[in-house]
Amino acid sequence: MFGAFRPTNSLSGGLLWKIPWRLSKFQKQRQRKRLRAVDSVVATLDKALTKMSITTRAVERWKEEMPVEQEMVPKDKYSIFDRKEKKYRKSIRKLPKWTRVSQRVNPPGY
Amino acid sequence: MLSRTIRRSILDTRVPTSALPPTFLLPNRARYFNSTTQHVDTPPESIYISQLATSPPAEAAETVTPVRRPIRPKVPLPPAPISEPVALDASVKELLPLLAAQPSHYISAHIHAKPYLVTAGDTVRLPFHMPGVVPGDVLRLNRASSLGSRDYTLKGTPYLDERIFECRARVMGTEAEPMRTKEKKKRRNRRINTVKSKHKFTILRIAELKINSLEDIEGSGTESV
Amino acid sequence: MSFFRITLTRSGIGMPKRTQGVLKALGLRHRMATVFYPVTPEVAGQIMRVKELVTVQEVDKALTKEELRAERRPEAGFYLETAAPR
Repeated sequence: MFGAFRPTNSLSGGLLWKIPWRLSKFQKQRQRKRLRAVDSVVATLDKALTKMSITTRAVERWKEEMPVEQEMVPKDKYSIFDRKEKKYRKSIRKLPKWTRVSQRVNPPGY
Repeated sequence: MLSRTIRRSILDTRVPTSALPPTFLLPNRARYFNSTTQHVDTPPESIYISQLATSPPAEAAETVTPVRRPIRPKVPLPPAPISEPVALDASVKELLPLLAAQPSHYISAHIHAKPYLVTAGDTVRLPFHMPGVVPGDVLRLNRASSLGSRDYTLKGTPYLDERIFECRARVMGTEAEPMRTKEKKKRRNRRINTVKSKHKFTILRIAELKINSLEDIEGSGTESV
Repeated sequence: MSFFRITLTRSGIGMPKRTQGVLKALGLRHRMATVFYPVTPEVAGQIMRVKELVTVQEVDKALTKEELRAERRPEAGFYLETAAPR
């Protein structure tokens, strides 16, 4: 049972990668930090542009459509919609380049 | 001016035009002869020759400029006195005389953002060669993160006010490490490059570490205001 | 006249060509590179394209390269009080 050559999943089955389906609390904390960093960039842009009384479509659209970090539900922060998954949800880390792209809204009802 | 033209005419008559001038009259040689610092008593004749040999007058000025140059541009100069009064906490005001009364003190002085935990009389070998200082110079260390004794410690946030203490360091000289050689070799190639390095390090001795009294600290602030 | 102080904190490697092109247009070649641009809608749109990769501040004055270097340089912590005769 114990010892150097015990039959573990990776030894008996060959290639086996185990990816936890949820994020750890530290990964979640860093994810929130990244979301807030993007929020602060948008806030800075908005403040600077309103000072000069200019509006930009990109900033306005983002403000209209995207929730800030505090408004998001935890489900949306750490997982995304996927129609092929069992409960239509998968971890956000499955999204390619997930630490450098914005993915905040999901289809309503899922 | 007149004598120069006469001299030149004499030279011209003496040296035949076809013959080459002697080597010390050539421009580059004459310049070398003029700019050697070891040669103290330059005969006036040679200066005259160098001027004759198409040397521009700027060169004479060049030998003078090193003296005129600012003496030490590399060492930081004393900063302007700080005008605003020292903001000391009540607890610091209460405990600073007790700290000052202790027999010996230590300081964590920061030189180029690197801390050195020292006390008076310590010798510090800096991990670099400080440019522009010579042995005997007295440096005033004005950035410290903590100051303390056996029983008390005053910590800065992150640095202490520089008027609280006086820390002076004397430059003792420079020290050199043994020559290091490193052989650099690439694969499939016989060539070996040997790199030599020998670094110099400045030695400091902490000459003085004094904690100013409260009157001095507050007096300096109000005085300059 | 205020400026955006834009610093690239996340690399653009592996991002789409459009995103990398915006970084190139802003002159951000590597991480921690800092550039200054006046506050205009065009620059704001460019920043929105790379908002996940940069940090932005609004400043009054654009700093030169030397001033940015001086900002990073730590204090000497000493000065020459009395010079020995030399």
